[in-house]
Amino acid sequence: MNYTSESIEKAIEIFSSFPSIGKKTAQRLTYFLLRQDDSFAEKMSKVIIDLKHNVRFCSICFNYTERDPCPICSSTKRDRSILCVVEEPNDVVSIEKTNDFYGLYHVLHGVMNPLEGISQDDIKVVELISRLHDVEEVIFALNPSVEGELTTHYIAKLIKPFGVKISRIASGVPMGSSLEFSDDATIARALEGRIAI
Amino acid sequence: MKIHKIHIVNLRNHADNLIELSPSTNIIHGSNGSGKTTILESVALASHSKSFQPTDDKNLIRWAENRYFVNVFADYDMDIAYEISINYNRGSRKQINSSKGENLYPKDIIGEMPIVILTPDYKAITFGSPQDRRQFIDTVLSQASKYYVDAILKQKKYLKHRNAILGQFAREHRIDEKLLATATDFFISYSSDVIYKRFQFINEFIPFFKQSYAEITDSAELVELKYKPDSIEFNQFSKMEKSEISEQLVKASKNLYQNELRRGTTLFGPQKDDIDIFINQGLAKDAASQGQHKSLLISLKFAEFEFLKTVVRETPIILLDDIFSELDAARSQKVLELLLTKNAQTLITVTEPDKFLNWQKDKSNFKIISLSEGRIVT
Repeated sequence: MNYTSESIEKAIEIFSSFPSIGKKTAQRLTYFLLRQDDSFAEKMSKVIIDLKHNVRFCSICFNYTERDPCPICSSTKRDRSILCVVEEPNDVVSIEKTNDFYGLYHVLHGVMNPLEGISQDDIKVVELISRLHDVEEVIFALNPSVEGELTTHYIAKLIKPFGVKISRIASGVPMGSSLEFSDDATIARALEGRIAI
Repeated sequence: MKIHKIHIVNLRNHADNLIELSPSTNIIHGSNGSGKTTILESVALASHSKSFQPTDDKNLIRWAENRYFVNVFADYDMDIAYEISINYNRGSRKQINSSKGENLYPKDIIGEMPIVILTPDYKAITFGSPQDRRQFIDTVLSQASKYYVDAILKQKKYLKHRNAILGQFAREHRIDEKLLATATDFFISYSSDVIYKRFQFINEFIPFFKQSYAEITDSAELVELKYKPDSIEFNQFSKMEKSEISEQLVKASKNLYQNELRRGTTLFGPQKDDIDIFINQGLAKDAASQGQHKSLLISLKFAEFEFLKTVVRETPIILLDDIFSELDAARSQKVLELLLTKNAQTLITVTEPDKFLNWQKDKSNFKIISLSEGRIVT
């Protein structure tokens, strides 16, 4: 395409490599940038560079952090005997928003997927096991996908010998919805995961 | 369920057509390649997001275009409106929106608008491979039970994972035993769900099948269906508990373990099931005549209609793709008469409408849709 510039094309290419951004949105973002003052572009490049320079993994829970250990891991107010295992850093944000969990986290950075050749060595499983010495309970909060389920039960098998209490979050009928509008698959799985009252 | 309007954009050779349908019988005619079957495919897309012909979505897009779009306006039996649209852009995920919600997945819409399809390709059900018969059960059961859809999708996924683990051992002689054991546990658990449901289904389906065979042939020939689950021994006449099924699968997995490691693949499970179709106590595959095969297939489809109607509590839409070219006049007339007693909306593609209409004295119930090169002519 010779009616735009090489710089514009490069910018579009970069933007469209973002998740959920297609060619058209990438174009819109590029033209938006061109309309802004120079200071905007400078500020933005600095933000991006700082992001990459300052943010790293917490050496304990593998969440993103600017200081190691992260604020959650170094907090004295949290219950250090409970560990919540999640797939990705943004899952920590989802659970923190509930203000209902006061334990610590462990971010796996993915789930196992034999079909795609992702094994336990590709995610933070060894790191999880090395944290178990003063932990009493491990709660799995992975996504309810086949791979999440496989990973949960696989790791549960691995850590059973450590004598910790192991659980996974419940799945079933969502809050605010009623049984009437739930399909039979959801209800049947919710029945399987029923709890004593 | 009755469709009153279909909007088709860039699907195969349809550019932009708004098709109004009669709530009873719709005859779609035109020469080869005029786009008759595409109208049936648009209904199948709206019903379970897939065509009944084995093809990729990108091949459904009209030549030189980048997307197709199907919008169906229908009414439930209770006269409540239902609308669904399928929008596919080349290279992205299919967008499904309906009166039930936006951004839906295929598994969310299956069963909402039940359909029964009969095309000459389905001959394979009565004399093809076990896979053809499994596919038949799967399409019927999926429309009847979301639980089944969930179970079979997960069962297939675990089968793939399990085969990947076993395959890696066959290639590299390296195995994570705990991982295989975990995958096997889940594979067995979902396989038991699938087998249990298939058992239940066959038992409920048999009476419908026997009745429609008798209706179609007016004969005293005895027909029977028998489920043949892989690795499961059972007494046909007693009820089978899910726990018994999983116990037997666990046993099979233990017996086959060494063999599976050597071959690098899963050697048991419902992906190897079959159903035997019997006629006069002989296996239909081997014993049935050409005519009996046709009657068996048609009765399976009418039975599917009655079964879905009973279970889903919604009248399925019937799609007949060029089947009358395969049937003699007497059988065609019989099928048509039976069809009219079902009170269902029917879409029929034919190449020779005159021959077809001659079979019927009262033509007031019929709507004729003529097509030429992807365009509606009348």
